[in-house]
Parts: sequence; structure tokens; C-alpha cells
Amino acid sequence: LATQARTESISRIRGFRGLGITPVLGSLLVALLLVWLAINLVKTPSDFASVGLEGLTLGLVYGLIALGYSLVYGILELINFAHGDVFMLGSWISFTFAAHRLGLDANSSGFAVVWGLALTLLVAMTFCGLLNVTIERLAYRPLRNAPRLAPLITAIGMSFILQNVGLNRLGPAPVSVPNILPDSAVFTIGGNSYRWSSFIVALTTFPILFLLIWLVQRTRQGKAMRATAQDQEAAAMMGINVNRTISFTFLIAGALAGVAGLLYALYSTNIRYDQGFQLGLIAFTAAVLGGIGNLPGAVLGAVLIGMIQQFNEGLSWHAPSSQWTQSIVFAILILILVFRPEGLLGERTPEGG
Amino acid sequence: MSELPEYRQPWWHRWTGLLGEPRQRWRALDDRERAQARLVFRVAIVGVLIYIAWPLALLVAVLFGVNYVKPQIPERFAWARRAIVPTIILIVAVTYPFYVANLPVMQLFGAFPDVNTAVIMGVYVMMAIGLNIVVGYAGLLDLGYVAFYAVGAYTCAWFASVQFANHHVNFGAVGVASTTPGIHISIWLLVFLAGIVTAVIGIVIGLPTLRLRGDYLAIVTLGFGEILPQVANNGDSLGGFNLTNGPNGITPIDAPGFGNVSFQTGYNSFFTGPRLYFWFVLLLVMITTFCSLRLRDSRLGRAWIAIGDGRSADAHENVGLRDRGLLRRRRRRLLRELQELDFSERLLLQHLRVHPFHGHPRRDGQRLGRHLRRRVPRLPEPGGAREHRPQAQPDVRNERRRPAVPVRDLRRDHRARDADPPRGVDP
Repeated sequence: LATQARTESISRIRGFRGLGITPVLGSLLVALLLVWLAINLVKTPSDFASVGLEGLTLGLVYGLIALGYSLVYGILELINFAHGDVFMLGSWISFTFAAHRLGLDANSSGFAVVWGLALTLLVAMTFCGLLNVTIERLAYRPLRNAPRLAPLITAIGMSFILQNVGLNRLGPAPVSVPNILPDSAVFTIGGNSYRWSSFIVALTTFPILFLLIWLVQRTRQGKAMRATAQDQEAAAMMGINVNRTISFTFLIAGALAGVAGLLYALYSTNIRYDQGFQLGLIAFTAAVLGGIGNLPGAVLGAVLIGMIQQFNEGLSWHAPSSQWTQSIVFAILILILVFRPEGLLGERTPEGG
Repeated sequence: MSELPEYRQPWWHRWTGLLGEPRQRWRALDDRERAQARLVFRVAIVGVLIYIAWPLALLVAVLFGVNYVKPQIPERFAWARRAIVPTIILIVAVTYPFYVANLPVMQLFGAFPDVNTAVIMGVYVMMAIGLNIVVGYAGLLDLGYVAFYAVGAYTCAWFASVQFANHHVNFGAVGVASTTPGIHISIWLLVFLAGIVTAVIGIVIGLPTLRLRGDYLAIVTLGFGEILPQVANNGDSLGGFNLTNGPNGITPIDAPGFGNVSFQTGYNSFFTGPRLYFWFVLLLVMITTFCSLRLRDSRLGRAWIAIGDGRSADAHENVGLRDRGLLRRRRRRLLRELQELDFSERLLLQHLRVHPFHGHPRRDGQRLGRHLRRRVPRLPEPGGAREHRPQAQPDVRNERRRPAVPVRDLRRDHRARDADPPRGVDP
């Protein structure tokens, strides 16, 4: 027993760590960021508010995509690189359906716009959900027992396939989406108007987020999802149909990507075949920032990333302009992964060492 | 989830195929059947190649045929067995510029690549060899590998072009007038310099990311792979300094050469510029291939491969390779349990069964078992003392024919022929 006590005390001493350089550096970076934001706030308060709101809006769109990454990663520990491209095809199907099939444009009546968009939302969600399920069936399920790298590389290949489908359908140039929503402002802050196309993002996203939380935390299917995410074998032994649960997760993730696709098309009024890759990576960064596999974390991270991006592009005092956005986002990704792999809200995983 | 027996597999697995099923079927064949199947496959491949282009079919047929000739070579010329395939490939490759113009057009793929394209192909071959070291040997999925290619290219461009026009250096550059502005250093030196600079960058990127594994490493490298192009793109005014000349890039870059013969212009109608480039690249490909193979067989290479294997095994279990803390905690908890309880051998065995989870090759389990055997006093056996002796190491030479079946391989016993060679012995 004495030996044991000694070992424990030694290990306790070894386990004690002083304030390392990592948290100091991290806090310094965050402090610098806050100082820069505060100076900008003092200099141009009205710009700051409107840019922040735009950032929140963009962040919510990212959040919808990031949730898809997080859901799939949580259950399969697979980075579904094809998710961004499912989102892109969601934009494409909403554009095709709303503009060509329903014939919505700037002159449509309010009634037509509301019901047309609701119908488009349903179509986009269904399409993307089923697409995602199909991908899982064809590409990932046969590799369930394969080495870890195989599904990852398959996901990258799937992403290229979908991107080429998008290239075939949309063409290489950006396609502009007709301005379906009224151009008037919902409200104005210091001379900067908050447009309907931004407002509808918040209007749609919040109910969907609450629905998702309810689904995951309150329903039987959600319980099955959480159980499968924790331990597939144990879940199977408890009578959970693991394959169906995974398919269902992919369905939900795809549906969220469909919603994001429609909202992004309305918000940016421009869609492009390679938007999925770019936004997918940013959304993935957001998921990692919040703690991958953690749903509230994904949304929080996405809002932060969206705000950082908008502040970077919109503020006037010493902002690295939009040509550095990508670098900043990925620098955040790398810093987070290296210094805090578990993310802001996540738990420590063995992956991050 | 382990594999289901065949009658439990969904019908569509027959068509979509589980990975590894063809391999299992292949393993089920005996040597004679394998030889026959191989012959059929080879004839089919040559048949397809005859349709595509006859020279390709000829080359492949010769390479396949060599396999049937090899065993006929007497033991005294064993070196010839090893040398024959590389020699054929080398001759075909070195003489490629002479016969490329006479080759027919391929079906489906168009004309054979000309010498300039072959140079690019050689460059890509070198990149693939490098990527194979990272991904193939060490099992680290590096999605930003191509960034190193860019670093090497920019290193070369900075030291062999007119980019830094207010400097005036000329060190062994061929085909550059001494009045030309900019830094001009011999390409032969830059080959090494670019390698060194890129290696340093690799270490700088590698050091912080070494703690990460698997997917996380892939993402970090992907991030670097996204940042670097943007830095290169915006690099024409980094604080007012033009480092990379932005999207236009740095051009022209000096050609390599000897004496006063530049690879750009060539020497005469035999040693033309493209041919010189081609042979240079071929030489580099040979050197890199040789180095890669030697590295693989070296102590370092075996360490890489061990890391790669260990990581994929760890990834199955989600336990960190270096997560000593977890191992220590688990071990301590186990010891406490063992000391508190009136332990019996059944308990010990139970723990040993539980800890090397699910039959994946793991070091933790083995280490744990070894540790426990040392720590835990010998247990009184109900039926008399049995010696706790480590199981004998399986004879490595015979393991294919007679697989030593460790405890955890028991459930695979019904297909012992398919069993992988055991990695170690269960404690």
C-alpha cells in the first residue's frame, strides 16, 4: 500500500502543470482581437452593428452546414467532405425549382413568394436528404469496416463527383438568382438597412435549430442516434438498428444542407458550382471550433466564424481585407486544432493527442 | 461490427461488394489455381492493351513474360532475376525520346505523351514517391502535400530569376548574361537548396501538428494547403514587398545547363533541350526511387511503417498512440481493483480479455498484460501449480503454413487460411 501511495503522489506531482505558454499565447491573441474590435466599435459604431448582424446571418448559414458535419462526425467519426457539395446541389435544386418550375421572381405576389419558398424548402430538404442517404449507402457503408483513411478518401472523391455534377448543371460561371424577396429593409441601424434576404435566414434557422435539438434530445430516434454515436456495438446489442440510425443521421444532415442551400441562394443571390467546397471547409472549421460532434458548439463556432469573416471584410480600421479571409479562417482552424483540439465546447478526444 | 456470415449479408453486397471480399476469395485459392487465375488476368490485360495500342501491349506482355522466364534462370545468375525488370524499364524509358514520334495513336487516350509532357510526368512521379512516404509508409494523410511542391518551386524561382532585380548575383548560372539583374544561382545547387528549404518548412509545419492524428492531421494539412496559395496569390505586396509577384507568378526561371550549354536551347540536334530535361528528370526519378526504397528498408522506414500500422490499429480503438495517461489510469484502476478484491484467476483473465479489445492488434494490451504478470503474484491454481511462462514466439518462417493461433485469433480459426500472420503473442 505504501508503494501505491508513493506512486500516486509522484504521479500527482507529475500531473501538476504550471501555466504553460499555450494558454498565455491564446489569451494574448484573443485580447488583441477584442482590442481591435473595440477600437472599431468606437470609430464606426453604426458600421460595427450592421456588420455584426450580417456576420450573425452568415454564421447561421454556416451553422446549418456545420451541423451536418458535426452530426455525421459524431456518429461515424468520418469527415464527410461531400457535405459541402450536397449543400451546393441544394442551392442548385432550390434555384431550379423556385425560378424555373415555380417561376418566382421579383414581381411575384407576397402569397406566391411565401408558399413558393415553403414548397422549395421542402423540395430542397427532401432532395439533399435523400442524396446524402444515397451517398452513405453507396460510398460509405461498404467501407464501414475498412481502415480509417479509406472512407475519408472516398468522401473526397464523392465531393469531386458532386462538384462535377454541379459544373454540368450550373456551368462554370456564377449563376445569379432572381431577387425573389422584397428589396425593402426590415429595419435600419444607423443608416444601414437589414434586408429581408438576411432576415429570412434568421427567421428560418432558429425554428429549425430548435426542431433539431428537440429531435436529438427528446425523441426515440434521437436517443438511438446518441447511443449509436457513443458505441455502435453496444447500441446494436440494445436492439437499435445501427444502419437505419446512421442513414437517418445522414438524412437529417442532408436536409440541413438543403435548407442552407436555399438560404444561401436567397442571401447571396449568386450560386456557383464550387461554392460547396469553399463554404464546406469554412463550415467544417466552424464545427471544429465549437467542438466537433457537439451540436450547440457547431452553431456557436459557425456564428463566431461568420462574424470574424464579416468583421474582417466590413470594418474599416486596420482590417485585413477579403483577400485574406480564407487564410484567417484556416489559421483559426489550425490554431484550434493544435492548441485546443477539443474545440470550445467539446470534450477531449484521443484524436487530438 | 464483425463480418456477417454470407447468408446474413444483404443481397446488394453481392453487387456493391464489401471491401476485401475479392481478397478473401483470392486467399482461398491454392497455388495452382492462383497461377491459372493470374495467367487469365494477364492475358485479359494484354488483350485490352492490344486494343489500346500495340507497343504498350508488347511492353506489358514482355514484363509479364519475364515472370515465367525468371524461375528458369540458373541459381548462379540470381542477380539477373532481380535486375531484369528494372533493366527493361530503364532501357524503354531512356530511349523514349527516340521512338516517341513513331508510336501509333492510342485508342481512348490519344497520342503518346511527347517528351515535354513526359518531363511533367516525371515531376509528378517524384511527388507521388514523396507522398507515398508520408501517406503510404507513415500512414499520415497529408492533404496539403502539394504545398511543398509550391515551396520548392518558389525557392527555385527566387534564386534563379529576375524577381529581386535590385540584387545582382550570378553564381554558376548558365545562359544568363552577367548584366542581367536579379539573383541567379546554378540550378544544380538549387535542387539541393529547394530540397532543404522544403524539408525545413515540412518540419516547421510538422512539429505543431505531430500531436494530431488521423482526420485531424488531414484537416490541418488541408488548412495549410489552403493558406499557402492565398499567401502566394497576395504575396505581391506583403507590407509593400513583392515576394511572389502575385497571380502572375515569377517568370522566366533560368534553365539548368553545363558550361555554356543551356537545357533551354540544347546542344545539337541529338541533345535537344527537351531531351536533356527528360533525361535529367529521369535521373532524378531514379535517385528518388532508390532513396525511397532504401529508406523504406532502413531502421527509419521500418519505424514509419510501424507507426502507420500502429495508428490504424489505434484508430480502431480510439485510444491515443501516446496517451500514456489513459493507459496509466487504466492500469492503476485495475491494480486497485485487483488489490481490493479477493481476486481469482478468472478475474484476471477477464480483465485481460476485456482490455485487448475485440482482437485488434494493440500494444497497450500486451504491455498491460506484461505489467500485470510482473505485478501480480503467482496465483494458486486449483489443480496444482502451472508455470506462468510467456508463450513461445511463433516461428516467423512457418507462420503462413501453420498460423500460431493466439487467444484472440481463436474466433478467426474457422478461416485460419485467411488469417493474417499474427503480430504478437497474447500475454
